[in-house]
Parts: sequence; structure tokens; C-alpha cells
Amino acid sequence: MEECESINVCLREFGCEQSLLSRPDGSASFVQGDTSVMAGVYGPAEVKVSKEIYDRATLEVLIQPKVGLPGVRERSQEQCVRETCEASLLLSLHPRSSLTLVLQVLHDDGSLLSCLLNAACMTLLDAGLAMNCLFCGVTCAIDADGQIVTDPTAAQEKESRALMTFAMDSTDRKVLMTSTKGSFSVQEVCVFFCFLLVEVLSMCGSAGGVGHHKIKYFITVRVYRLYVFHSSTAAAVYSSESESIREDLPVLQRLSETPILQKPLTESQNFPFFAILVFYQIHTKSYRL
Amino acid sequence: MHIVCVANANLQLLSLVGPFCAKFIPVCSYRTAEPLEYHRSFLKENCRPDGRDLSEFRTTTLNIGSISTADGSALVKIGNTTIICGIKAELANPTVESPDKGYIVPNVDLPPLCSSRFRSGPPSEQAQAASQFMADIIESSEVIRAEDLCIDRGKLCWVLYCDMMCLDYDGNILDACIIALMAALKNTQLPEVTINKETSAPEVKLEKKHGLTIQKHPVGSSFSVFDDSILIVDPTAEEEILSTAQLTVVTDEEGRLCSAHKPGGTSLSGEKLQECISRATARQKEIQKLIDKVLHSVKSAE
Repeated sequence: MEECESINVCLREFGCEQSLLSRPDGSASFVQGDTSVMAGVYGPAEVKVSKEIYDRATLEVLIQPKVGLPGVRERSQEQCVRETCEASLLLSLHPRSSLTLVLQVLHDDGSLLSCLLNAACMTLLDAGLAMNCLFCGVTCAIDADGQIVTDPTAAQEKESRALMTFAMDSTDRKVLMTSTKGSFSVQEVCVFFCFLLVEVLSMCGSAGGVGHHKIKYFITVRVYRLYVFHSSTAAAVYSSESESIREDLPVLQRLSETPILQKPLTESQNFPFFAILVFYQIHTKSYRL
Repeated sequence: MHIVCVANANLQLLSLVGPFCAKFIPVCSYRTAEPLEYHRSFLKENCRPDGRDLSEFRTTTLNIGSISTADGSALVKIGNTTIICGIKAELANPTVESPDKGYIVPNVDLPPLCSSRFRSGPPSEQAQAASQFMADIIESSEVIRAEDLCIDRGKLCWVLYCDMMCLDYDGNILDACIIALMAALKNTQLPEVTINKETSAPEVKLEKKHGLTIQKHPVGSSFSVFDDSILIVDPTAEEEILSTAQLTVVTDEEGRLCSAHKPGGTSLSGEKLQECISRATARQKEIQKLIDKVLHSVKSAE
């Protein structure tokens, strides 16, 4: 917990609201500080013949920037989000159909790609689409002094010499997506790559220094924070039958003693998460059959 | 033409046909009907249908200065994958935000000629993503200092249009694009430009040319993940389609990473990523040697 303070790991306040829009089959807005993304998903619906895939659904991701038309940058973000979603969705359940995920950037104040990923995940959950894992995105920046800033704002991003965005999945806790900018040493990236992963913690502890632990610790916190979002309040109401939630409970309890998590969710925030948990449980159950 | 080969694929194909004969299926139709099974049966034996090891690149061939009308050019072949890069330098006004900087505009083109999977019309998502990737590499590795491209602060600078065109798509275009771009940049000769003080019009001295100062030598290595666990390097187009995830690691000569790009796909453990990084560092040395060797032979031929 002290480590947590010493590297200055404050995430900006984040929030999510689901089912805001009536037309899409699932929708969510995700806010990280001043960065805000609204997302909606349509489908499974009919697919254009040219895009039809015989054994699975075609996923299309559209990212709309705040101003202007989508350009090359958006295309590359679309590719990242699409392939991450494809890895977590069970697309083979809907062969020869289409899923369209539309992400509208409302405001960009840094860490946009991670916010897009988080919004995408929440939207897919809201739509009740079958997934084999959840995922979350986190952006980290290394500033000129080598300090690691997590969830950077646009100003911090500008000052940083390297910027990395990762997506992790909730089942294996491995890296689903990485996208980096700027140059950095292998040690620095090791920090990020390896220490995302719970499994290799012991190995790395011997290999190198304190920094590793900090990052690993932090990123797991990030994952669990999303988890908390998904399940902690609801876990009290619904007796948790899902194994993965039960596995997480001791960690959640431990984390709830840390300063970051002591702030309780407000009543209005709680409400949509019941719905998520229902979906979450239905899904985890149905996958384990 | 200056062509140098770095590695030769050792063909062991004949010895591998054996296992399939037992099933009484001709090898070629087995490959078409069950492509995934076909590849798996090779990977089980730690090799690939074209006879390569799992961590072996295809033969890389480089030709520098192939387009005489461009300011710099290079043609790269990795196996069958062919990328040609031409660099056109133009004079322009610097932007207001950075008056002392020129700029580099990379563009990757995947025309219908190179593969049946591309159609004519606006650039595909893959082409746009590749262009963005190249722009990110140029920016993050600082191949060329943007200040070096400035001629007169706030008034005149160079813009380098780097067009990379795929002539034959057989997988792993990102690696080929980076090699082509680096070789073409090293081949680029810019004329000297002075500004006439009286008329303040630029004067180009075509007879006086100089090369660019290249700060870094980034080289990429691409990997594909098969069945969520088997890591293969330098995938062909067929392997790319069948794989579950792709990863590209770009390192420079100091061993610093310029990019670790994994646009989704199945997840990968930290150890595997480490493995990729060390393979990429080794590859960087090979390719830098290749580029230097070809450049040297071009110079000595002149």
C-alpha cells in the first residue's frame, strides 16, 4: 500500500453509465477524468454479403472523433478495439451476422484509447453479448524523469517521452493488446509487460527492483477496480455463484481497505451495476456448461 | 542492381510430406481443405510448411535506388512479400505551432494488384493502420530530427513524402515497410536550398546535394500466435489468416524499444513477450548490417 503512494498512482475519477440510448442493443458511456466516450452496439443483425463470414459474426468498430471526420488515427484505434473485442467475444455463436460497435468521443483529455476500450467492454456487457472474458484498458506514460504516470491527462501525455496502452483480459490476466508511442528501454517495457501478470510476479521479484512490483500492483488494482465496479455492490445482493467473482473476493476485501476504494459508490451509480452482474453471472454460467 | 541475401531457407519439404501420405490425401488438397490442421501438423514438428524454423525469417533481399526519378528509393523482399518505397521531397511552409520543424508524411498503399483480399477504392483499414503505424515509428524513434528538415525558420522547410507500395502481399508487410523506409531514407539526397535575401524566393542548387542525417535505425520483427501459444516469427499471408494474434516489436540499435504493437487477438504471457523482444534485438543487427552492406556496394559501384 505504501508502494502505491510512493509512485503517485492516482487514477482520475472514473465512471460508467449503461443503457443510456434506446435505439442500440447495448450502450454505455465511460468517463475517465475529463476524457469521455459514448458507445453503442447494434446486433447481431443482418450482414452485408460482402462482409459475411461463414462461421462467425462480423464485428465492425466505428470511432467518431469529437470534431471532423474519422481519419487515419481513428482507423488504427478501430483496429485495436476491434481485434480486442474479437478476442473476448464469442463470435462463433452468431455466424453470418453483423455486430456494429460505434464509439463516439465526447471529450479527449488523455488516455483516450484505454477509455475507448473500457467503454467498448461495458457496452458489450450491456448488450448481453456472450463473451469469454472481460477486458479493461489502461494507459501509462513515462515522463522525462522516468516517473510513471498512470491514466495521464492530455497535458501529461504531451510532456511524456513514452506512452503505452494495454488491455488485459479478466480470465487469464494476460495482455490482449499493447500500443506504444515513444522510445523506451527494454527494462521499462519489461516492467509493463511482465508485471501486468500475476503469475510471473515471483520470477520478476528476483530479477529486478522495486519498480516492477509497483506497476504490477497498480495494474491489478486497475483491473480489480473495474471488477469492483462490476460486482462488489451486487455481490452483496446476489449470492455469488460465479467462481471468478468468488476468487476475487479476498482480493477485493483487501483492496477495499486501501484509500482508493474507500469511497463508496453512490446510490445512483449503483443502480446500473445490478444489471451488469446479472449479465455477468448469466454469461459466466453459460460458458462453464 | 545490388542484391544481397542474408539467410537461406533450408528446404526440408520432402521429408515432411511423409506423414500425410499415410492418410491417402494428396498434400495440396489437404492444405486447401484443412489449412489449420495442415499447419498444426508442421508446427508439432517445430517447423513450417515452407521449411523454416519457428524463429526463422524468410530470405530478405534489398535493392537501393531502384526508382531513379525519386529523391530516395528502396525495394525490399521478404520471401515473396515485396514493398517498394519512394521518397519525394518538397518545399513547404512550416506549421505555425512548430516553425522550426519540417515533416515526414508516410503512406502505405495496398493496391488490388498485391493480393485478392484488397479492392480498389479508398485505402482499406489495414492500409490506414499501417500508415499510422509507420508515422508512429518515425515519431517515436526520431529517425530524423525534424529540425534538420527546416531550411528557414518559420518560412521554408522540407516535407518528405514516403510512399510505400506493396507489390506482392505474402504477410509481414510492417517489417518490410520499415526496412524499405530506412533504406530509402539513407538513399535520399536533397539539393541545397538558399533563400535569396532580396526577392526572398528560394533558390535550389540541384548540382549540390547532400544526404540526410539518420539518427536511429529502427527495425521491426513481426510474430504470429498460433493456437494461443505457439509463437512464429515472420508469418506468411496464410499464417497471418490462421493465427489468433499478431505482434510487432520495433527496436533500434541501442536496444531501446520504439514500439510494441499488438492490436488485440489472444492474450500473451510476459515470458513470450520477452522472447519476442530478444528475437527483435537480434534481427535489428542483421538488418542494419544488410542495409549498410547494400549502401556500401551502391557507393563503391558509383
